[in-house]
Amino acid sequence: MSTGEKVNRRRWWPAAITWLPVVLLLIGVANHLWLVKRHQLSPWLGAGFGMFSTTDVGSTRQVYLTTVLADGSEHWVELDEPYRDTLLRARALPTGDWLARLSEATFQALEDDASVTFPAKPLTLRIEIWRNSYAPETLRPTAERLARGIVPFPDDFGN
Amino acid sequence: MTSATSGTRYPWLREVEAWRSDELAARLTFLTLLFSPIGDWYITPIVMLLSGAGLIMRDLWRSPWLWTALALLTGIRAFVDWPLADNHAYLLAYWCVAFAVATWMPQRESLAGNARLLIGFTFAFAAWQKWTASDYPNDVFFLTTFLVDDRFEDLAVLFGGLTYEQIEMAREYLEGDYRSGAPTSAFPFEMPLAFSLLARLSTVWNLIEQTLVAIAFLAPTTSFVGRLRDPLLLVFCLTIYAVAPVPSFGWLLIAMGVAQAVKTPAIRLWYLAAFGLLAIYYEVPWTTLLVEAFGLG
Repeated sequence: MSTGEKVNRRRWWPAAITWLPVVLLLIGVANHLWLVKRHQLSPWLGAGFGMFSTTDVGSTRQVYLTTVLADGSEHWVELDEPYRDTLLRARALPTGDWLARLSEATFQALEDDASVTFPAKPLTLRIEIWRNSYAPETLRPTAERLARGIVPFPDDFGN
Repeated sequence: MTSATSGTRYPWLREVEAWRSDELAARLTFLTLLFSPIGDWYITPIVMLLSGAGLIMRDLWRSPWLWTALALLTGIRAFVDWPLADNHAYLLAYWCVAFAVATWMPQRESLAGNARLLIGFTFAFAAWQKWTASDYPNDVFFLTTFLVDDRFEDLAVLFGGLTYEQIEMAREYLEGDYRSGAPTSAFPFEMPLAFSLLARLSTVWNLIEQTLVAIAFLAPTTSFVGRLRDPLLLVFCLTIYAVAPVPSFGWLLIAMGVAQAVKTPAIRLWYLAAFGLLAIYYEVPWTTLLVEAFGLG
């Protein structure tokens, strides 16, 4: 490598590093757009600057956790702290990974709560995430399901 | 009033004029981090101590180590909070990276360029998301948000002609469980004209203002629209943050605005005044006070 090439290489990288903040912003926005399109990320979140741009904000999404028992009955589950944080993240970005984490948090919450007893063996946990959207002019709400997951209870649950 | 005479009559003004743009931007960034602490217990105290030191110690704002540490801490905070972090958490991290780059590298003027592009792209994407959303240009976003989001209920009462009882009824209707089908009943009351106009005005204002800020900051600085960038950003901050309860986003934009602004005393004073006014907007519940004063709701 000639001396001139070495000098050029030295001059090249500071110039590229200079614009690192803008490059990071553009990568963040690209990631946001992909997650919104493919994984139902709330447009408000995830570095895409979509705050205050749509009614699809995390807090207007609803998460329904339902245990299905061996006798066919169903029971709703509500998550409190410290498991609620996982619920909020799964609600905002309902990927398979976050739904799996939410199911683990739910199983843990049920194990930790001694007051919870089921009349029959729990078989599966059904997770559903919904949002309401509104018609122009009338604001008539329509519910739309964003994500759904069915996870079997662990074999050692309750032992 | 000329710069010389104002400096003689008001020594503090001379001091404001003498500040370097990057130094003033750094100090406003430190203030932002102190006014609005970020992160969990393992991040907050370190960021506050670093920001306090940067503010008090004369030349610490030039330290690349300080800005690298702040860039790492703000970045870790955004990563840990994923995906729930607000958008300005990411912007704050990019901004600290911009300072780190500017202090490590010989080209210090890169800070102004990065500030301009960060603001420009932030507003470009914010405006684009609004223009392309299915429920924004048609007013649905503001018609529902002013009703459902309790941070705006006083505003809806003050300017929209609604009562708190109507807002409560609207929330029950809008937030109901409609998994088994849409409601058979219509919206529970007839919307006052003032409320519809408030939503329309909010929609149009946000679309136009944010689009103009984006164009002004991404256009060449010497172009006609490029020269309007500082007034446009100031108008945005002075109007939007009177209502939107996220002053830390506004403070960050102002710090970035100062870094790239045309260095005139007037522009600089407007930025500083806006920084202070945002604190007042946020701390003084002016909509609640006016609702009570006029006996509304």
